[in-house]
Amino acid sequence: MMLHGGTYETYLYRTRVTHVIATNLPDSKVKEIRGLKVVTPEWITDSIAAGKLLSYTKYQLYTAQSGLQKGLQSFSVQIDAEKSIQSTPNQSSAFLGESLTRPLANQSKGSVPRDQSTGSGPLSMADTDDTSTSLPCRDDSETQYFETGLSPKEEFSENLKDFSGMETSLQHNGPAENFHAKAQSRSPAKAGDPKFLSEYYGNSRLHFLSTWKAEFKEYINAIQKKGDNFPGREKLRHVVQSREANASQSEHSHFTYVKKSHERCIMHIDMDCFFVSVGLLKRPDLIGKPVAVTHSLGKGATVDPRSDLGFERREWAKNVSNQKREKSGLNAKMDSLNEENMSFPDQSESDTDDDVTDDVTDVSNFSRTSESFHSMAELASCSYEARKAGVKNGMFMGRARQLCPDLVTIPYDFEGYNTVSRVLYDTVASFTHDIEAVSCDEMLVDCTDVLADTGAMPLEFAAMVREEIYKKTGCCASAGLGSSILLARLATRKAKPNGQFHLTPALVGEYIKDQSVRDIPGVGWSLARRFEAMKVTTCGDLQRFSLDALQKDFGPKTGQSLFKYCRGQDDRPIKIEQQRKSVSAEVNYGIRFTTSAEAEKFMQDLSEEVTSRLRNIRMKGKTITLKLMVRRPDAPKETSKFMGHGICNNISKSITLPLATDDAKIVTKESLGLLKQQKVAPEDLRGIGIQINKLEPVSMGMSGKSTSTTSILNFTVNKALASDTTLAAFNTSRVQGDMKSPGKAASIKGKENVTHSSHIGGVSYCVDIQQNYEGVKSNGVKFVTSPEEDFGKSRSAIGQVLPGNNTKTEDFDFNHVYNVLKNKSADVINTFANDQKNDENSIKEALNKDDAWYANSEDEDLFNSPEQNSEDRLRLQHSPQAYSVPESSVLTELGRRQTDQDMLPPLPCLPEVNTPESGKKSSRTVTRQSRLSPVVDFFPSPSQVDQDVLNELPVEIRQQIEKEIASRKKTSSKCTLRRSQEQGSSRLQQDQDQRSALFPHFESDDGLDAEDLIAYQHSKGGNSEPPKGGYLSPAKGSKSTRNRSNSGDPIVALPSPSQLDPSCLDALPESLQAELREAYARQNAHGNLTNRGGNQHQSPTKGVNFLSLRQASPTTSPNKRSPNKRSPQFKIPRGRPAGRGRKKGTRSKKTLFRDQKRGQSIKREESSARSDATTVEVLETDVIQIDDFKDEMTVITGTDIGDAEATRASTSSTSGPMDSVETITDVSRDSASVGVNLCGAVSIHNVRILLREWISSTPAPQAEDEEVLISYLQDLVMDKNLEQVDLVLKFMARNLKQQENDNWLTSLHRIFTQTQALVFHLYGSRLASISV
Amino acid sequence: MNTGEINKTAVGSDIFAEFLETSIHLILYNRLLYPPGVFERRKKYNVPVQMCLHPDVNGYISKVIGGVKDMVARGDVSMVTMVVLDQAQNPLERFVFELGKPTENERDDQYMFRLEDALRAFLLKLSVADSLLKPLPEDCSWAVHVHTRESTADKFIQTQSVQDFTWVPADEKQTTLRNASLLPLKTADTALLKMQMFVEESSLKDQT
Repeated sequence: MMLHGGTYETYLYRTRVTHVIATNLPDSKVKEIRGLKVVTPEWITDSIAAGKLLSYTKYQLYTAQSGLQKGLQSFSVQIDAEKSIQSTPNQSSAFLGESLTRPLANQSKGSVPRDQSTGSGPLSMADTDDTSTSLPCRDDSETQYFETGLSPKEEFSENLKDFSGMETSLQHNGPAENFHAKAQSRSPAKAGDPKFLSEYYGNSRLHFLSTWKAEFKEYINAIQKKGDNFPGREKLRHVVQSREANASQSEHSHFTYVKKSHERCIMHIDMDCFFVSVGLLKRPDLIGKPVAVTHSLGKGATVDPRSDLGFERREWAKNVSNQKREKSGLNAKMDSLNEENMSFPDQSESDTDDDVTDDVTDVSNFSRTSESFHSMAELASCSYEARKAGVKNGMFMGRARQLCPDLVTIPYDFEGYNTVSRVLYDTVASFTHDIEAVSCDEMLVDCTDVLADTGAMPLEFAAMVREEIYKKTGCCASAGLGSSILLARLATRKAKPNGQFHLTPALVGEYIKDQSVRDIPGVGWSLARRFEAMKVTTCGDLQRFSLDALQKDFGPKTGQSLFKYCRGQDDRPIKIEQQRKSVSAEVNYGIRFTTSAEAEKFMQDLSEEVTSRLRNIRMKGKTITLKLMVRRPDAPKETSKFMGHGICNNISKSITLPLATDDAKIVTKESLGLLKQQKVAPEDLRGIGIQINKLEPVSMGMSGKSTSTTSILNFTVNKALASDTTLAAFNTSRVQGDMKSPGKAASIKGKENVTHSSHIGGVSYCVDIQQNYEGVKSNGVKFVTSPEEDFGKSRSAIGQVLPGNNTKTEDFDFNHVYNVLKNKSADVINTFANDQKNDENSIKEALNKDDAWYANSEDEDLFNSPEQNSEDRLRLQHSPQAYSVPESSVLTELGRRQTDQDMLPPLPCLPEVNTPESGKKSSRTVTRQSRLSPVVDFFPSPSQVDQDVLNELPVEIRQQIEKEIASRKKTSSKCTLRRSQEQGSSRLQQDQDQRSALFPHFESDDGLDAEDLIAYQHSKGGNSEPPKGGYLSPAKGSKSTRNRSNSGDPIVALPSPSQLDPSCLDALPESLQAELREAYARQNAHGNLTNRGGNQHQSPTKGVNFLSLRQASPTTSPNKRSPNKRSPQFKIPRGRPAGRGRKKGTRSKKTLFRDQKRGQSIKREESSARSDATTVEVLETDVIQIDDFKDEMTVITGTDIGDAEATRASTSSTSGPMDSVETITDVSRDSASVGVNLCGAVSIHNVRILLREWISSTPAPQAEDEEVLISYLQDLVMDKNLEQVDLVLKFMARNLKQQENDNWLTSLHRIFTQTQALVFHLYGSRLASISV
Repeated sequence: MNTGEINKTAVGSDIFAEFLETSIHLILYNRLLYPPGVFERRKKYNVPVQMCLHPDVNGYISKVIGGVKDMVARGDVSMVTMVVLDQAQNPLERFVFELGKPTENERDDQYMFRLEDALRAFLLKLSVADSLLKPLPEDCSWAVHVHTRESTADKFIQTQSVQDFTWVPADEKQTTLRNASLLPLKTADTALLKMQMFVEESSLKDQT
C-alpha cells in the first residue's frame, strides 16, 4: 500500500483518511464517518491487482455514502512499482489499502498494513510517501523479517531492487523523489513510545479530516460573526440584471426562467474528487489520467506467522453468517470480530504469493478469496477517469490497481486541501453566511436569502458560485439544489461531476423514486440490510409502505422520517452553529503493552491528546468514557494485521465527573481508574480510546473549586434567606399596594421591588434588598425633603386613604421590610464577601434604576446626588453594619424610625434630659387624638440622625435635613416626632433624649404625661377592650389604640404607624394574635390602674411587642384569639427574648431602683446611658416573662390573675418600681434558660443593630452599657458561642475604629480584654480576631 | 415518629459522629495533611466535601469515630479536638468541636432541617477556615483528642479492649498550644446537638 502512495491511518482523522476500509460497520460508525468512503478491502487488492486505482464505487460498503464521497482521485504512478513489487514475496503483503483508517475502536477496519519490509531496516523506503510523514511503525519488523525466513540482507536487496524499480517508475512523479529521505528518517514506533501518539495522529488522514471539519465549522462561525458583508452578491445582482436584460431581448435565456420564489432553497456544494483536484493543481500533467490519492506506495504485506489468519477469517465468517441471520444488523461483538477481517488475504500459510487473483467480492458477498496483493491502503479519492474504470473512493489500493492498472497515485497534500477549502468557504461566504460546513470540500448553503435578495434564480446562483470557486481554486465543484437538505444532496449526485442540478419540486417525485434507499439520511448499514430483506432498494420501493407499516417496523421516529425522506420531504434546517457533542481520541493500532506502567503512560498521553482537543474547541467535558479493546481470550496473541488489534472484546466504561474538566490529569486519573476496574492484563490491550462527553463551553464556569464554592455559598445563602425573602416579597408586595396611595415614588418603588423579588440567586437577592431598601428610603426621603406640611399631608393622606388597618399595615410593612432588608443585606454581605464586587454592581444597578425613578419623582435633586450610590457602596464594602448605619442615618429614617421602635431596645441613651419630649409627646398625643388616624412618621427623629452620615451627605441635602429637623423641633405640633416618642418605644425616647441633647431649645413638657394619659384614655375609650389599654403602657396608648382600631374600632385607628408591623401580625397564627391582644388588654388594664404617663408602660409594651415578634416565627401555638390584633412593631426585641443571665437580672433591679427614684414619668424616656441598659433589661425581662407565659396567657385572658401574674408583675414593676424588683429578678431567673441575648437581641443581626444604635447615640459609652455588653459577651462565651462573640467584637472594632473616638476606643479595649480574659481562662488561647 | 421518643443523646451522638468524620476528612484535605490526590469529592449535607480514599487513613478515622461516638453517647464529652502536630509533636493547630447541652427549647426541629443547615454551615466554615490559617509546615501529623471526664474515660477504656483500637490519655504536650490564638468558626444550637467549632492556632507555626 505504501508503495502505492497509500498510508495507513491508525486513527480516524478525517482530514487524512480518504477511505474507510471495512467489511462491516455499525450504524453509529456509519454516521460517524459519514462523508468518508467506506469500501471493502477488495477494492484495494483489486486495484493493486489491476495495477490501477479501480473505481471504488463497486466496492463501497454501502452506498448511502456515495453522495458525500469525494471525487475520484487517481491512483498515481506507483502502478509500475507495484507490479514490480508484487513479484517480491515479502512485499506482496505490503499493499494495504491506501490510508487505512479505522474510525473507531469497535469498528472493524480491515486494513492491516503488513509491509514489514517497508517499515524496517535502514533502508525501509517502501512505505513512504511524501505527504504522510510517517507511519506508525513497529519495532519488531526486523524480527518479523527473520521470521518470514528472509535474511535482512535479502530483504534489503529486495527492497533495494523494488525501490530502484519504483524509483524509475516513479521518476516522473513528484512524490517519488521524496521516498528515500523519508523512508530513512522514519523510525518505528509503537504505542508506549514517546512519539507514538504524535506519529499516529500526524499520519492519520481521518484525523486531519475530522479536525478540518471542526475547523471549518469554526471558520464558518467566525465568518458569520464578522457581520454581513457579501461582496459576491453585487456580482450576482449584476449577472441577474444582465440576464434580465437578455431575457427581455430573447426569450431564451440561458437559464430556465423560474419565477423568483421565496421558497426555501438549499444548495449542496461538493467539490469534485476534491483530493485529486487539489493534487492535480500541482501535477497538471496528470489531468485526464486516472488518478487516486492514497498513502499507499503499492507494497505488499507479509504475514506474521504468529498471527492466525485462519482464525480471524473464521471469526469473520461467523460474523457474516451471524449478520445474515440476524438482520438487525451489527452488534458490538460482531463489530469487534469484524475488525480487520475484511482485509484478510488468503495467503494463509503460503507465503505471500503474487497472484493478483483477488476475486473482488462485493459487499453483499462476504466470502473472501485469496488476494495476493495485499495493499490495504485506501484510495482517498480518485479522479473521474479512474472511476470510469471502476475504481472507487475508499477502495483498497490493490483492488484499484486491478481494476485500473494505469492508476496513478498521488500523495496527500494536506496543506493544499486546507488552502483550497478555505478559499472555497470564503467564496461561498461572500454570498451568504447561511452555511453549514459538512467537510472540507462540502457544504450546505441556504440560499433562500441570497436569491430573495438578488433576485437570482437558483441555478444562476449555483453557476456563479461554481464559477467563482473554479476561478479561485482551480477545482471543480458540483452543486445540487433543492428545497431541502435531502433534495440538495440527491441533486448533487446527479450534478456530478462538475455540474449543477436543481431538483425542483416538480422533478422531485420522479427523481426520488430512483434513488437508492441508502441515500436516505439515517439509513446505514443495518437499515439497508433490513431494506434489502424487504426487497426495498429505492425510495420508490419504500414509498409503497405506509407510514404505519414503517413505524411499526422501524419505530415511530425512524419510521416517520423514513416515510418523509423517501418522499423527498426533509425539513431539517441547516445547522449554522454546530455543537460538538463529544471529543475523543482513540488508538487501536500498535497497542502492545508489556507492563502496566506503559499502559499508564500511554493513557496519560492519550488524555493529553483528548484534552488538548477539548481545549482547542474551548470546551470541557463531564463524562469520560474509556473504550478498550481487549484481545479476546481465544484469539491469538498476534494479529494477522501487523500491530492491529485482531479479534477483540470491546469494553466501554464511563464515569461522570461532578465538574466538567479539560484537565489532562483528571482525565488520566479517571480513565486509569476505569482501566484498573477492568482488570485487564496490559498485554491484552489492543485498543484504547478516551472520549469526553457532555461538553460545555469553558466560559460557562470558572474552573474547579472556586465554582463549587461559590455555588455552595449561593445555595446556603439562598436557603438561609429563603424565608426572609418570602417575607420580604410578601412585604414588598404589600408595601407596594399600600404605598400606591401615599406616594408616587413610593409606589413605583414598591412595584420595582416586587418585580425584583422574584429573582433568584444571591445577586438578585442583593438587588432585591437594595431595592426594597431603596423603596423604603424613597419614602423616607420623600417625606423628609418635603416640608412639614407635606409631611402632615402625606401622613394624613395615608391615614385617610388607608383606614385603620391599612395604615398600620403600611407602617409595619416598612419596618418589616426594612428589617428584612437589613438582615438580608447583612447576610448577603457576609456570605458573599468574595462577591462583593458583583453585589456592588448589582446594587449599583439597582441604585441607578432607583435613581432613574427618582428622577421622575419630586425628590429628584435629593436622589440624584451621588451620595447615595457612594454611600451604599461604601456600606456594602464595609459590612452589614455599615450597611445599616447609613440606612438609618440617611434620610431613610422613615424606615428607620419605625424600625427603631421595632428593633431597638434603648441601648444607647443620652442622659435623661428628656423633659423636652413630654411636651412633644403631649402635643403628639393630641394630634393623634384629634386625627384619630395613625400618622406615619417618616422623618427620623433628629436624635437618630447620625451626624457622621449627615456630614457625608452633600451639603444641600444636609442642609435640608437639618432644616427639617430644626423645624420639627420647633413645631411642637409635629405629631410625628412626639407620637413616636410617645409611643414609648424606649428607642424613641432615647431619640428624643438625644434630640433634646442635640437641640437644647426643645423642652420637655411635663404636660406630656397628661396628654399621654389623655391619649391613653382616649384610646381606652375607643377600645372595645379596655383591658388591653391597661396592659399596654400608656405610651402604647397609641398602640392600644391601634389595637382597638384593629379589633374593630376604625375611628380610633391611631396606632403609631411605627409600632405596627402588620406583616408580622399577619404572619402570626391566629392564636398568637389573640394572645397578643390579650396582652394588650392586660396592659391597658394595667395602665388604667396606674394613672401614669404612657412612658412608664413602655417597657411592658415592648415586652408585648417582643412577644408578638417572637411569636411570628413559631407557627405553632395553641391559643386562639381574635386575629385582628396588630402586633406592635417593636423591633428591638425582635431577636428572641432571651433571658439574660443573672447579671441582667441584677441590672434590671438597679434600673428599677433608679427608675423609682426618678419618678415615673421620666423613667422610660430619660434613659440616660445608664438607664438605657437598665431599661433595656427591664424591657427584656418583661419580654421574657411574656414568653414564658405565652401558653398560659391564653388561659389568663381577660384576667389579671393567675399565670399572668408574673407578666403583670413585671409590667407593674416597670410602672411601679417598688414591687417590680423582686418580680423581675425572678423573671430573669426564669428566663435564663431562654438564651443569651443582648437586650433582647439574640441574632447577630439584631445585636448589631443595637450596638450601632448605641455607638451612634453617644460620644462616650457609659460604663454600665459597657458592662452590659461585656456580660453579654461573657455569657456568649459561656454559652459556647464564640462565633458570635467574635462577630460582635469585630463589629465593635470596625465601627469604633472608624470613629476614632478615644472614649469609645478605651471602652472597646476594656471589652476586648475582659472577653479575652475569659476566653483565655476557658480555652487557654486568645481570640485571634481581636486586637486592639 | 415522635421526636420525644427518640433517644436524643443517641441520635445526637450519631449525628455528631457522622459530622465529625466528615469534618476530619475535610480538615485533612484542607490542611493538606495528606496529598490531595488521595481524596475524592463527595457530597455530604448537600455540600461537597473531600473524603480520603486511603484505606488505612479511613480505617483509623472510622475507629476514632467509633470511640468518640461511644463517649459522646455517654454524654460527658466536652470537646473533641483534632490536633495537628508538627514533626516534634508540638501542636500547631487544633480544631475544636465543643459540645454543649442542647437547650431544650422552642421549636423542635423534628425533621432536623435546622440541624442539617447548621452542619452544612459548619462544613462550609471549615472549608473557609483554611484561608484564615497560616499554612502548615510539611510532615505534619494529627491526632484526635476527646476531652471528657476522667470517669467516662476510664469506663470507656475498660470497654474498649474489645476493639483493637486503644485510646490513651493525651500528652500534656499535645493538648496545650503555645500562645494560641483562637478563631471561632461556628456555633449551632439545635435540639439534638449543641456544638461550637473553632480553631486554635499556635504561634509556634510562625517560627517554623
